[in-house]
Amino acid sequence: MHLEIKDVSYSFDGKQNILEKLNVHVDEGEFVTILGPSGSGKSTLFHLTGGILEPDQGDILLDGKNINGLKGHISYMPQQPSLLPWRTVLENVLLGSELAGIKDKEMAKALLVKAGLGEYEQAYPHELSGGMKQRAAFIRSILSPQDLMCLDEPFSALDELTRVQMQKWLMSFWEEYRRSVLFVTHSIDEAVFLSDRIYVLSAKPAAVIKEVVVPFPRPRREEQLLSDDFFHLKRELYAALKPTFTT
Amino acid sequence: MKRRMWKKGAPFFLLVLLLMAWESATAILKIEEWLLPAPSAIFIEGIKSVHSLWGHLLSTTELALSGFLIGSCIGLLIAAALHLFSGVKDAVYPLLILSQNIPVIVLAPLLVIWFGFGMLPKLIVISLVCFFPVAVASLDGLRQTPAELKHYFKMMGAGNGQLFWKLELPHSVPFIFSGLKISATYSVMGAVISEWLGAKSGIGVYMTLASSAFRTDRVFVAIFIIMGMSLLFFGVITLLERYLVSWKRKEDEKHASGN
Repeated sequence: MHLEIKDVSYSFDGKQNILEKLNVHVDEGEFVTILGPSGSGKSTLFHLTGGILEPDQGDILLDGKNINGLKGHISYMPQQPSLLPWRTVLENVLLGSELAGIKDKEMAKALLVKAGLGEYEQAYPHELSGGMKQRAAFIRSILSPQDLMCLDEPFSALDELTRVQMQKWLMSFWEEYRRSVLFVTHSIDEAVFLSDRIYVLSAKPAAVIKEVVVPFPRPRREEQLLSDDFFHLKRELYAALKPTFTT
Repeated sequence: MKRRMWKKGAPFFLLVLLLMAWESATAILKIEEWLLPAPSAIFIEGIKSVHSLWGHLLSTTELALSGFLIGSCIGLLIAAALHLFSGVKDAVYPLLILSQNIPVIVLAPLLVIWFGFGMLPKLIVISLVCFFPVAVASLDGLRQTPAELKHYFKMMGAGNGQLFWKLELPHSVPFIFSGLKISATYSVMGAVISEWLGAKSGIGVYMTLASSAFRTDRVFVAIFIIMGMSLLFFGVITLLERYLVSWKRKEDEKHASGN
């Protein structure tokens, strides 16, 4: 799997560009984060990749094939868990693959057990806590057959403690399965802790102003969050981001 | 516990109280039986004519049920069609409302002229009153599908068919049931009215005969039977709803308890 977003520009009204000649790529098994201030067009980038919007200029290439405006090529995890309230947790995590025309119940059950949701297989979403719902949503996107997972600020609606827990959980889960991930966030800590590579976006119009490779070895541990290297990188990213929200 | 018993029993107690007031009023004020019979007299008459009533009851039930089923299906189809072709909706929706403004009493004899005395005009009358609540409620349910769920479906590449069958339709099931409950009670009324047009048997027929013979007690028997049937229909739909949308009830309970 290789995703390449090449010179993509997009505007809603034809005048002011939301995205300006954006270049982003994700390699096989790579965790790439788009870091940018709120309202910088990060979600628009996802809508373009998901095919519900079409770029004005540029190409979105998946394994060399142009997928401009084509739906169904990514596995998506939204900000809100977006679980269907009338389906049990098990039926919910199967939804993504069901939409693609396949269903692997055994795999789903195994992953739910791994995610600590084994007992909740037959429960309804309203019985779960916020963190559990997001875990279910993540399992749903892992079970979806598309090679590229797009996670759109999946933890931004959670409280601080749950968020840190969820990041650790996601990391351990991802390190085991190694899917290609395009992750969007506005949290520097989250970006550094999770990613292999980070793109920093400017505010309107969004363009890549910095690309950083995160050098920490995997599996990542919590202690790394307190290391000097971590702070150094964080400072660097903050310095890059600063002009985007002061102007 | 006591509160809960009171909540469940209150309507029943109130009904008993009303009947008692009625009973004593007829006795004290010496009201003529053909004007307003006492509840006890109505009850006795009801027991006496159980045998002859049974046939009427069956044919009305059959009529109401089939009209209800046809009307609800039409309502659902209309809602789905208007939802899927939103351009048509703006044109058709006002007509749907107008259809409810036609006085059934006036329309019914016309239908007999057009379609004769068979089942058809009767079913048309019942369907006409039954389709509307279902259509409006389902349309609301389809339209109010949460945007974030729709967004997820679209991002995952779901087609319009998948969007409808897997998201919008299941989401509107609780709404559809609200419509069905109203239609269920209307269907009995619709059946009785359509039987006035001319039928061999049915509660409507029994009622017309009773009222032209000044058998007020029998008219009241018929009224109570209609009420009972409506309640029964309503109850059956409520039970079905409990079974089919249990997720919704649990969710609501959770909200109510403040968690």
